[in-house]
Amino acid sequence: MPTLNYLCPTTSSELKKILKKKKTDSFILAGGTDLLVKIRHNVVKPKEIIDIKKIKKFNEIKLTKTQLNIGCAATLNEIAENKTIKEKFPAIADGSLSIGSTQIRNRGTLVGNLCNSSPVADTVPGLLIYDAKIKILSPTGTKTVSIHDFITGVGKNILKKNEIVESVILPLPKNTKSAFLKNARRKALDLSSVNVAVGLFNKSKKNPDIRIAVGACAPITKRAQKAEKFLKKNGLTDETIKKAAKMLPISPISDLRGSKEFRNKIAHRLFIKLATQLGEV
Amino acid sequence: MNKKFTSVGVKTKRVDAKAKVTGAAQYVDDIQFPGTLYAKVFRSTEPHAEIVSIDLEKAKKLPGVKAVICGKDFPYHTGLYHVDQYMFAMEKVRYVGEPVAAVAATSLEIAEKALKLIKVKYKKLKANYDPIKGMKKDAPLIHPDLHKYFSVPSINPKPHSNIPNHFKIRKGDPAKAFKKAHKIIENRFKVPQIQHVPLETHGAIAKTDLSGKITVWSSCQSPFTVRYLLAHCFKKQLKDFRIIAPFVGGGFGCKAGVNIEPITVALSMKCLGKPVKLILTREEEMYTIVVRQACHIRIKSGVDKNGKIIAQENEYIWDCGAYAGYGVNIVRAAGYSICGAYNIPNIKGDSIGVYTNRPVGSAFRGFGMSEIHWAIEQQMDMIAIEMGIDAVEFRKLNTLKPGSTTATCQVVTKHTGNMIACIEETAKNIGWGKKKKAGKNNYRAVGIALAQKAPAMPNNATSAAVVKLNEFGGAEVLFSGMEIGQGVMTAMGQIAAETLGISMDKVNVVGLPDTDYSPYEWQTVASRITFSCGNAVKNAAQDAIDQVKKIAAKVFECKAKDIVVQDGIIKYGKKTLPLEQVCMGYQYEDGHTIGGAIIGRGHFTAKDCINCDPKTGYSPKPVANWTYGAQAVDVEVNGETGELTIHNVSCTYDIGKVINPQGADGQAYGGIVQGMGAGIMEALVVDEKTGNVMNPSFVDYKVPTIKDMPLSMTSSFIETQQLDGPYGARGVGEHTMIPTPAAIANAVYYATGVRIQELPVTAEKVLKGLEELGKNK
Repeated sequence: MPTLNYLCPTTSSELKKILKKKKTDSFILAGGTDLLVKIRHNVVKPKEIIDIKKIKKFNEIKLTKTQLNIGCAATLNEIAENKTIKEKFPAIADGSLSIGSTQIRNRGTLVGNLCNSSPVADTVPGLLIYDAKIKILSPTGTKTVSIHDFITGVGKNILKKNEIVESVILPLPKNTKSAFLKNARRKALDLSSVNVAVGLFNKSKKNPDIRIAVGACAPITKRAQKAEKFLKKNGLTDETIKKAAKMLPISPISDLRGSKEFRNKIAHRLFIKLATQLGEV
Repeated sequence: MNKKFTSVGVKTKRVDAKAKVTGAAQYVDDIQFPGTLYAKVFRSTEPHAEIVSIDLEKAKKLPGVKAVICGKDFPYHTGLYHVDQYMFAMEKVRYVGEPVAAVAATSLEIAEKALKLIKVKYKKLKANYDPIKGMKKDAPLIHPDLHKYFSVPSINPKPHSNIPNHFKIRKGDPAKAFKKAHKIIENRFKVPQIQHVPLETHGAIAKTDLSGKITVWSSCQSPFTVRYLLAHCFKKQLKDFRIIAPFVGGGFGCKAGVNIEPITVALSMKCLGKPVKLILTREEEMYTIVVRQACHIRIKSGVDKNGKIIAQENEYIWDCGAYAGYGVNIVRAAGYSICGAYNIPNIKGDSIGVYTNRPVGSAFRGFGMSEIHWAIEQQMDMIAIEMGIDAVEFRKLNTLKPGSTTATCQVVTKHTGNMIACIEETAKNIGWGKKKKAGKNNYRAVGIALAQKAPAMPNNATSAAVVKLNEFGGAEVLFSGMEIGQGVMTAMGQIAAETLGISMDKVNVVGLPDTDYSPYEWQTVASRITFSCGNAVKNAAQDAIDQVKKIAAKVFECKAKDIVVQDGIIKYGKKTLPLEQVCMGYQYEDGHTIGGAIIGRGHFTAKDCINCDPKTGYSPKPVANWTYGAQAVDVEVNGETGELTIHNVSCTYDIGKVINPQGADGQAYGGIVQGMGAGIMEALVVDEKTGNVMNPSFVDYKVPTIKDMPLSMTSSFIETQQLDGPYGARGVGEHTMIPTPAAIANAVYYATGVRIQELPVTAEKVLKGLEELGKNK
């Protein structure tokens, strides 16, 4: 019978000691909504599981004067229902709400969604447009990296085996609005065929500070810098939005969730819809 | 029938509700015996290959492993209508997922580990996934021994081919009629394989005791058929087997025959005295047991100037998958129902089953009708549009009415059912002809489709029931129609209460059969239980009450026929006697007693059903009865994404007497939602390079969630009495999912002009269609 070592630290310092000795067959457990599926499908065979939910501060969603910290054990439903996130970061709240079902969101975490680093992750486009910072904990201390440098490939990120993401830091924006849309085969419990987050960070229609990220259409979801620059220069009109849609950095594949042609079309339409909506109000 | 009913027709709460809501209801996996061994099945990874060698030795040596078996240990066949399958693959494998060997061990982990130690060498054969290719003369044979297989008389395999059944309809003179036709309209349609997705996967526990008696606890729809097929398979007596059927978490046809029971029994025979438990994982459930058959369809219709269909060719080429033990009967059912609910005088119909190397096709709610109605009901709209006739009017003109003849030349009477009423009621409820308001950039319209279906069962399929009266004037009602969620326990309780003249709360509905103690039931399939088992229960209750009256007649000194029993009181004129004073015999004041414990027995077999002629399909009565219905769907199409929103679904079925209005509504809603799933999202995808199912889990096989529900559903029922039905009832379990996909497709067409002829109607297909028409926003 295979044995499984279950560790459940209650403080950061305890966790640090565990991380120091962590091996490659040891896995971090937060909500477990990705890990348990991978274990069932024999994708990973853990000999040790480190449950981080019992560390109190990891569960917190904390607001300071300049930023919002989302702890790595904060659940997707807590995020989707958080008043500050709904007000200040609607694309992140809606992205979180679009994942799985109520039951899954009661377990799953935003940081888990990020660390799973799937191209279809529904919280990632939102994190990208808000230039989130990722606070990484290792046995020797903490460091902060940009969301733009975090994901390195399909299911891959910069985390080393003895590191975890402790929290996601969102600088508090001024005068912003944002929105998120997801296209999937059904209305709940489905992976995105395409997901899009768009944010408007100033009130200028002439020189809009617009930020765009389209997910599920490339190995790594990235900001649509070319389209952003184009719109900033040329203003937000029906015509420029349509032109910008053609500049999205997307190269979708065909799979069971949709053909590349379909994904291209949907990505364009969702982007146009969001950009138009944000420009109108 | 003007009699006032007290139980039948009264909205009745499910008798199993409390057990299910509280978790008291036990399913196979809930049953835990000490010393249980856990089974796992070793499955083929090849779609079509010769088995060169099987090495079980390493697996056998693993500590904790108690048995490892394969085909040579149990070289036995299974199959209900057509015996074409070994319990384990023998000379060759025919689909990915086919059982090749099995293990029983002291834990599931050990059993899984043992599977990895089994080595099978294959010699690959060319696989075929296309039934049309499989029909060709030079196609490689998937079953070279087809001509040696046993089939029941109504099945017609074509020797030395890939065709396990070909059903023909030759009615009138279609060639001549086509020549006279004003217009000829021909179209092709496709239906993919889909999964039943029962909430509870297949599960069984088998125990062979030291005396050799074999007990099986199984999640099944048909315990007596399981017993019969096991006895055949293992060449034993029926008395050697006892099947106990606890609650079932959904069947939908996939638990109709035998599935995993033979393997579980075989393992238990090698581990005497130990219960062996086999519960399938969801991934195994998806493709290793059975799925709905795929179908390639061609319909050619000839219409006269008035819009009457005068000739039709219907061709159904069924992808049976690797085995067709049950599937051949779907081919037959689609044959005798070949043109749906329409009155067509000249028909050439061919329903042909073809073996392929896909997962095994079998019974699925609708039993072929959902599949063929996808095509028939779109074809009807396509003709109506071509002729410039309203779709509702066109159907009213062409549908079966009293005096019409069906495809087999059966004459429809006023008692068969009233399709016109179903169409009119449905059209009224959906607001047919009224323009529906669509959102910005969207399209919206209503589509309609009809359905007809008969119970597809052997003509001698029989039901039995026992009603035991008890000391309190209540009754135990025993029958073996399985409660698979459809509400049979409640309906049987109502029928018994009504017939006995007692209230529902005095009835102890003993569902959950045990073949050693329960009365016989053929199978819980074909929407036949309310009709057939209901008749058996009614007859048993009547038998009990006749015995009561006989005793009471002596007490009252009157004739038995002048006695009535109402509300638990035996009445003769003004004289009364509480029922409980007779149930166990009546005791006079001086102590002497007449009569004794009363047990009623009843059975039912549909009368006068005749097999179809193999050359023409002719039969004056191929089936016990027909249920007609109509369904309309109000659909909004998103002009930007192709996504569908189902606003409203309205349906009407002529089910004779509605036994439980609450249950009938439940069947309607459930059927609509399952039909919607098949209509807009479900398809099993096979990789034609490897034979692997690409979406063997809920990650990529989608069924509707609560958020995908239609925004509104309404159901109505027409009550044309079924003359031989219990209180005039006939079945409705399957019918409610039959018209939904075609009604959706028709609505999408009316809304957008996009015609989708291959299921499912996905957003991607609709969007592509919109673009082709230049209608995307």
